[in-house]
Amino acid sequence: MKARIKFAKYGTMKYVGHLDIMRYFQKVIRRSGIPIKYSEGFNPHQIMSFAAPLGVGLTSSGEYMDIEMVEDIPCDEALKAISNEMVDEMEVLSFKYLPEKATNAMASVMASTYSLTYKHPQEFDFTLEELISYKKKFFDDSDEINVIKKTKKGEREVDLKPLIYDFDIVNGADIADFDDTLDKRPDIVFLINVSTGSNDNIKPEFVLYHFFKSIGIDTKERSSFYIHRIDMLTRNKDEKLISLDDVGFLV
Amino acid sequence: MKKLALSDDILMEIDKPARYLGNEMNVVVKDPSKVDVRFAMCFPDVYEIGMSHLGIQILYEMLNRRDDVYCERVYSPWPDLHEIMVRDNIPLFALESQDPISDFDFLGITLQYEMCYTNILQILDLSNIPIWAKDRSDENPIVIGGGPCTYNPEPIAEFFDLFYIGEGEVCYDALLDLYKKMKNSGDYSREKFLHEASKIPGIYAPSMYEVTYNEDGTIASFGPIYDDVPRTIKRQVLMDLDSGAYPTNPIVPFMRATQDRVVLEIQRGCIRGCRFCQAGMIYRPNREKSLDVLKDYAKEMLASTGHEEISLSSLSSSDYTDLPELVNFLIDDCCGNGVNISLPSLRIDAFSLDVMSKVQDIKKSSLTFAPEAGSQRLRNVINKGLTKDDILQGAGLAFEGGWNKVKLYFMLGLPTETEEDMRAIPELGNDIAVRYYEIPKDQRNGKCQITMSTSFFVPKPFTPFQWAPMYEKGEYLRRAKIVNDTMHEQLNRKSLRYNWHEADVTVLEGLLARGDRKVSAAIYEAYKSGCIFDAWSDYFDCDKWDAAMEKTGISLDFYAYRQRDLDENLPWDFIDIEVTKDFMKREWDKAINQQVVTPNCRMQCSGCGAKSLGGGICYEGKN
Ligand code: SF4
Repeated sequence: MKARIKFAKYGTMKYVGHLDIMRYFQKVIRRSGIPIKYSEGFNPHQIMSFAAPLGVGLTSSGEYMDIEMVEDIPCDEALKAISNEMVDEMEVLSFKYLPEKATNAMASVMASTYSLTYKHPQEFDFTLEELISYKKKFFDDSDEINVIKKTKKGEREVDLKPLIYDFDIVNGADIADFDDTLDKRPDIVFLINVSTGSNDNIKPEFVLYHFFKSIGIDTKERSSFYIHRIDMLTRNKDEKLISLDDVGFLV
Repeated sequence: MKKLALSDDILMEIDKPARYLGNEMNVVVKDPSKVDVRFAMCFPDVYEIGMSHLGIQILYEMLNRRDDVYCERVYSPWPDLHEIMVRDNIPLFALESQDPISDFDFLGITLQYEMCYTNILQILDLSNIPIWAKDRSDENPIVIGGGPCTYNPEPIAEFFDLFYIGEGEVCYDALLDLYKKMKNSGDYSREKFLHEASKIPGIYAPSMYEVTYNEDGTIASFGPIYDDVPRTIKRQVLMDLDSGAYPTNPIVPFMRATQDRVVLEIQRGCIRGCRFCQAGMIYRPNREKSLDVLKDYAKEMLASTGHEEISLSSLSSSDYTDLPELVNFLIDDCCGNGVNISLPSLRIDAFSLDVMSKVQDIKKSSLTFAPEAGSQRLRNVINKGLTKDDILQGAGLAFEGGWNKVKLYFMLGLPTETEEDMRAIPELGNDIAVRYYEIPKDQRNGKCQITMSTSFFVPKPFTPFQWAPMYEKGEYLRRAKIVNDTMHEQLNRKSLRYNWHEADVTVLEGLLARGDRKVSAAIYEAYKSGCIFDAWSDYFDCDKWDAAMEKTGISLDFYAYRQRDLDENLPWDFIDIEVTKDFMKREWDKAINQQVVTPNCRMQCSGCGAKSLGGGICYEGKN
């Protein structure tokens, strides 16, 4: 059966890039001894695929990979075997089997939720209330947010509005499960839920770049914010966004 | 979050930040405040190269087995980070604790190739340790060097407090115990410690010795400045390899290191005695690890790393007594489930071809031969036992088994080399191609591809060729051109490829390999003018080195191009590797004058001197 593994990556591990994380997991799985399936040929490799790659410098509590097993062992056993092989600041959160017809992690990601905080708060001189009122104008009350997006094929104009599913600005103290790797909870946290995937892939810092641009501030996207991916979401048969983790089931 | 020496802004600005984190799998974590000795182990090149080095992993394991020592790692910051560290005044740090190197008791630097010498100065400089040993105070770490380049430590002697000559397994405990004792007794000074340390076998403290020179620049005398300091330093050798520490739980980098696999050291030393090869002399006698130990290590290390590949390390794996048994064990008991074995270059014969066909895709893999010289005459001069028949026979077998790619390695500029020897290189390539096309068309696998590569010969200390002259850059290139032109005259030229190395680096490597203490001024000058990462062709700046030599009066004529007299005092004569200078002289004579080979140690002992160490091949099957 196919299985889905959810993991978190934080602290110093955020500087380890996606390709290295893939290699890391291959070794972890081999060490753990869980019965993963290998491809045929002279250089057999594990059947393993990852959901949307996380950029260097980002932390996450909602990363996913799917693997194929030759033998279905109980979920808690597999979870324990893999957890035992983790380095500090990498954590396996769940191991679940997938229904037979489930789309793979990569193809099923539709949206991601993020929290963003200032890297250098002294550069931003706004109160939470001010930001919320600017955001109301930029997002809640606007019908469209037309911006230029650079892609591999060139530049094109896109309307961000339908691609941003949620946009909130809150005090860090008010969030229940906050990314605890930061030293203290910041006063201002941007919570953004955006479209993710091969078609309309929107980065949260891109949203903030345009938000700040709308109030006359130039941000440097990646180097202005700590970015934490909270989770990745897909749509269930009612078109509702649900966590990728909720697709699987425990055995 | 784990402590980091570099800020998020810096880590996000530089290339490959994973080089500097120290958070890898299997890393050793200790509380620095609870140990007596903090040891920073450095490989003076970039992380991916340094992490691949087995020797350092062995020492890391060995030192960390002691509860009173914490050994951490440090590598050369890549030029992008180097610039930032200089700009922002960030001290160089060890990976594990991220603490500045200046907080450590020892900075150990492994010296694997001469072209890393400016990187040593980079390490010292960024660590805020005075570059010249004489300028250091009691507060600075003790800087100690080890590895193959210490067999002539003189060009870098004035940058080091100590050198460890030989295999690290033997005397490090004595050195650390001495340090601990002196520190705890409160009777420590750098000077006193170095003086005492110089009495430990294998330890060379350059400041305890004095050199005088003749008018022609050669060495007049070399000796200790105190009566209780030994006149010669004996190489330390671990006779029972099974007893040595081995990293069965090695660190697994996140980044792809050059060696991204389990490495089994199967033996040390080589029975062959090629006359250009330093490793073949300084690791005598040949000693093997026992099969059972290797089998255990293989299993244990695959389990502890999760690597998908396992490989063997030695100078000549084909000579390992139990090779078939070992390889079959690896294939049968370790491979499968995504684990492969990567074979080192084995002698091509029925056994190795059979093994290769099991573990590699024949269509993609190639055969490797290292004849080192094109003609039989020159192969006799260098004592390379491989004959043309051996090569043609091996290649023939392989071609019939479906292979069609061959790689051949040679050296140019060997002693006594003539134009005929150079031309023999592509001629040999052509003969191999002829052998291929003898196979009926319907039974062979398209065209064959014979690739010949040449490097330029660099004479190394403690080899029979240590007295040999080098050539100027233009002459090396002329020789490469002869090979290239001759190749284009060959019948099968369309199946032949040829590539050759840069000549600039070769000459400089030769200078550094056989230099004396005076050469340190040029290295310092080169570093000051901006040379680092000289081993990387993108960074090597020949003009800066030329200017540095010019300014410090170091001449290639003297150090590189000169034929040395057999009776000259060589800078490394004070080291006793237990292979006698007499043997070297006999070998020189057999090479240059008689042009005959010396049998390998398994066939017959040639009395090199290493027998006095009391073990290894010298006693094998000879009671
Ligand atoms: S003493 Fe003899 S057998 Fe031993 S290493 Fe020297 S030549 Fe070889």
